[in-house]
Amino acid sequence: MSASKLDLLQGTLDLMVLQTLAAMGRLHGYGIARRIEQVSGDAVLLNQGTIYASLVRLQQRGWISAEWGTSTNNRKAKFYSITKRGRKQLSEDAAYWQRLSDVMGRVLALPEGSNNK
Amino acid sequence: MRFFGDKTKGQARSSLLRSTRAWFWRLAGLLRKAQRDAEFGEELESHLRLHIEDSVRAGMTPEAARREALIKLGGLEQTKENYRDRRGLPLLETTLQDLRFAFRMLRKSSLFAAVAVLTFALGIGANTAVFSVLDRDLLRPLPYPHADRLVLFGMLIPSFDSRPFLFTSSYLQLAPGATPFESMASWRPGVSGCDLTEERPSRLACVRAESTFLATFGIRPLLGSSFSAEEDGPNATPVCLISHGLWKSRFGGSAAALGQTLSLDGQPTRVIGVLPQNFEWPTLSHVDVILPEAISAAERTRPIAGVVRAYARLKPGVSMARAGAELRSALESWREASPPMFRKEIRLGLVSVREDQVGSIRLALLALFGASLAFLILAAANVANLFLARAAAREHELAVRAALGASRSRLMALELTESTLLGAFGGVAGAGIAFALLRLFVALAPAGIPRITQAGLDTRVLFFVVGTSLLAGLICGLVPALTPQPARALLGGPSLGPRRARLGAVLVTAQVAVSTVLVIGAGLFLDTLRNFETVPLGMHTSNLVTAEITLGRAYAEPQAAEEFFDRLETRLRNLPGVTGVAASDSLPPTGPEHAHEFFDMRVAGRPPFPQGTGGLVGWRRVTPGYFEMLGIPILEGRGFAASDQEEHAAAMVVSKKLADRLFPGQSGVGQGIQLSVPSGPWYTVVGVAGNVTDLNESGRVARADPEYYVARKRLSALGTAQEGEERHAFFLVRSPMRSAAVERLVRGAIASLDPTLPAKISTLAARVDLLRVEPRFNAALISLVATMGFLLASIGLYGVLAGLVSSRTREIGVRMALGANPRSMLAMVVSRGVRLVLAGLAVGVAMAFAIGHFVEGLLYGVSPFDPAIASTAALLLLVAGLAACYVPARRAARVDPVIALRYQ
Repeated sequence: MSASKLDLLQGTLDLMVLQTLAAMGRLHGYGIARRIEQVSGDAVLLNQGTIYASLVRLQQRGWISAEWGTSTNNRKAKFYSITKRGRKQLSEDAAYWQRLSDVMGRVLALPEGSNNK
Repeated sequence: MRFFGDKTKGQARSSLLRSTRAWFWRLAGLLRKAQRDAEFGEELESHLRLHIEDSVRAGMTPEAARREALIKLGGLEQTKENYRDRRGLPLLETTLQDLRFAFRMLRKSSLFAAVAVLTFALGIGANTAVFSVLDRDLLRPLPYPHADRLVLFGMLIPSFDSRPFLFTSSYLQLAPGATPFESMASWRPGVSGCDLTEERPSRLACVRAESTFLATFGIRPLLGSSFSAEEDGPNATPVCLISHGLWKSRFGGSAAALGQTLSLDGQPTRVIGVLPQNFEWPTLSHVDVILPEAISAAERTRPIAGVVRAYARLKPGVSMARAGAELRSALESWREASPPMFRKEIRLGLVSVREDQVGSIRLALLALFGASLAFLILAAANVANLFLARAAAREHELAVRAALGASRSRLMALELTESTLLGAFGGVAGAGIAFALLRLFVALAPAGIPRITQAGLDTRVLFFVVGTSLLAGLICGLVPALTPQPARALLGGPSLGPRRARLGAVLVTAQVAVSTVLVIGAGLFLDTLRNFETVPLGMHTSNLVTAEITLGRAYAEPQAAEEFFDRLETRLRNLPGVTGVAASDSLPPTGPEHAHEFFDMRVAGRPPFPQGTGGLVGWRRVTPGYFEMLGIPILEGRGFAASDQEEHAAAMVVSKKLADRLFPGQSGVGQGIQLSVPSGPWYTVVGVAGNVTDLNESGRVARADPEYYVARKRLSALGTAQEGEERHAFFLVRSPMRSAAVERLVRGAIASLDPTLPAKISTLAARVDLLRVEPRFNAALISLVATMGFLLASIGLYGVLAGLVSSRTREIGVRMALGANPRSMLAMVVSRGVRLVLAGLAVGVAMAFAIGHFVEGLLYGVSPFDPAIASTAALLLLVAGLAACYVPARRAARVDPVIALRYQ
């Protein structure tokens, strides 16, 4: 795999999956993977398989639910949807990320050597 | 989902809930594992299909699309692996998987498993049963607080009594401040029978104890309270404490029992307390009622007017050694107060209560535990050998596994799981065997083993079982694991590598050694038993029924007792089929009830014996028929006649032993003997009777004092009769009829005179036999263990030799192809076997002699270094070894070189 893919920790992938489901509604695993690839411009997913570990984690925590259904092409697939708890979690985490990115942005914007005044 | 810790309390709590929930999910993931795996497989398949469809729609070929989809997915197996790791709990899953696999493997080689489990079960079962008894007696705390500080103390006069005691006056003179004790308590020795004289009369076990007894032992009554010092006086109104059992049976366990009156020996006695259920009398005797000691004024002041057993609680921090030192001066004052003849041998007696309880049987118990431990070792060695052999057979399979990537630790974990599983099964079966063995113990055991009825499979014992079985399984599993095999195992057929073969040989040698010790032990105990049973008693015991009668307070007047016995004798004589009746105050082989100092006698015409010499002389009061009925020969003169029972007759019959002492070289008949020198009555010796052997409670020959006999008469004139003695008598009834019928008749005769009088009726043969219970028990037990151990060792030897032959089949084939005689192959196997046995024998005999010194106390009439027994044991094991060699040797001789060489 190329080194340009962002090296992300588990938690962030979970957040992305949650966001995807919140925005897109009911999706199967493949769909979620495609969506993330599209949105992040292919820079994030190491491989699509890691989605499934994330999905299991989210299911264990009760943030998403799953059921078998049929896709648009009449194929059998397992569909996931976000739960109420998941939405709550998502909003909390999104707020946290926002704050974090603000702070990081300000810190990183400091000019070099600005402390030596 | 946090990078920098920033949780609020609520968030922290919900995060805990989340992880708990996640955990449960994972646990649930273990269930229906296969189903979920299949489901995930389907999901992945559908993922791939969707991807392929999209790619194909975009213009790719199906094969390229599939390839790309797989790559993008990141590998099917890898994804599945990640998913599985997420979903379940890896460690637990691995263990469960191991267990399941081990189970399957054991099912496949079920014979091996069955043999291993059975062997384990026998070893663990026997060990557990013995441990249960040992635990109760030697390890478990006594039911008193700080029981290790409780002691029995006093004077120890070995020729008088085996346990410490004190004269009442000496005890009372002990100033509490001057002793190393926090508190003291005494009781009158002996649990006596007292009659509950009521509508339903029964005989209860009563003790008389000081008011400080319960306090010293730290026992709180369940109901009511103990009696006070005032209530302990000789003239106080009688009160008592009753046992839990009596409370339940007589009063139905109701609180209204307090204040009720029991009629004991005709005296109304008020119940003022009930003892707790776990109450134990310090001598472990069964006790129903505790009465106050009620020491009379006479006992307080007159030295040696009475004796007591004294218990005490040591002050905290005072060791036994220090207490002993502090009692030295008291010991001297006790010595002064004692009769001169004993003074020289008086020593300080100070033992802990536990030592007092188990001291006499500690050796037997430890020997028994040693034997059962040896047996367990034998069993474990056998199973270890089985494992070695099996490991050799599975080498190929294990090597393949290793090559496929199983790490060494995983393989070892697998083996250990199997062996631990076997150990666990063995433990379960062993617990069952232990249970049965305990039942057997209780049924067969002699009375001397305390608390044996309490020995059972309780929590402590179960822990022991679990511990032993897991340990045994683990060790047996480690044996092959710790002797690794070279990698060439992948190529060759099953072979016992050199290291493993040596280990197997060592194990067998150890087994033979241990077995030798056990067999020698069995021989020694069996010989002891034989010696016990053939001790000449000097009397006949057949066709004699005995009745032991103790008259209660109702017969307080001496005349009343004598009258009763007189009437009973007449009644017994008139029973149909009875050919003789005699009475005595004591019956052999138990020693005489009465004794006095040798120098308290005097022969007419000779100077009196010097004070303090000669030891003790015992005497019995008997009726004329006594000697003839017991078959005691009258060597000179005559026995007693009816005339000797008259009031003023003064006839005495001396035993040969006493006659030799008093009248060496001459006939004692006609000589005069005075008792209670210098002013006692004179007797005339009318005859000399043969010696009768006395046996003590454990069946050993007691150090027999010389004895004489006087005739039972209306008035007792000898010695200081202790209270209740004239009311105790033994009757001998001779009849050719079956003893059961005679016993019934005797019981009827007694009941016709006094229906409420309990009597102990038995046969003389049974009484004598009772004394042999202990040596019989010892011998039976050790023989059982030795036999089983012997069998195990033989099986072990067979196993090793069989393994040897099968592993060297190729070598044997080569030799035979090169022209070797099949006979010489046989000789090779046999010689290997014999060498192993001889090595084991040498070690075993050395071990037996080393331990022999310790078990000397349990033997009788045979030395632990007896060469005859040792050589017999060696011979037995050699023969067994040869027999075990037989089949493998024949197989070796029958090896077909062609087949052997092709064996690859």
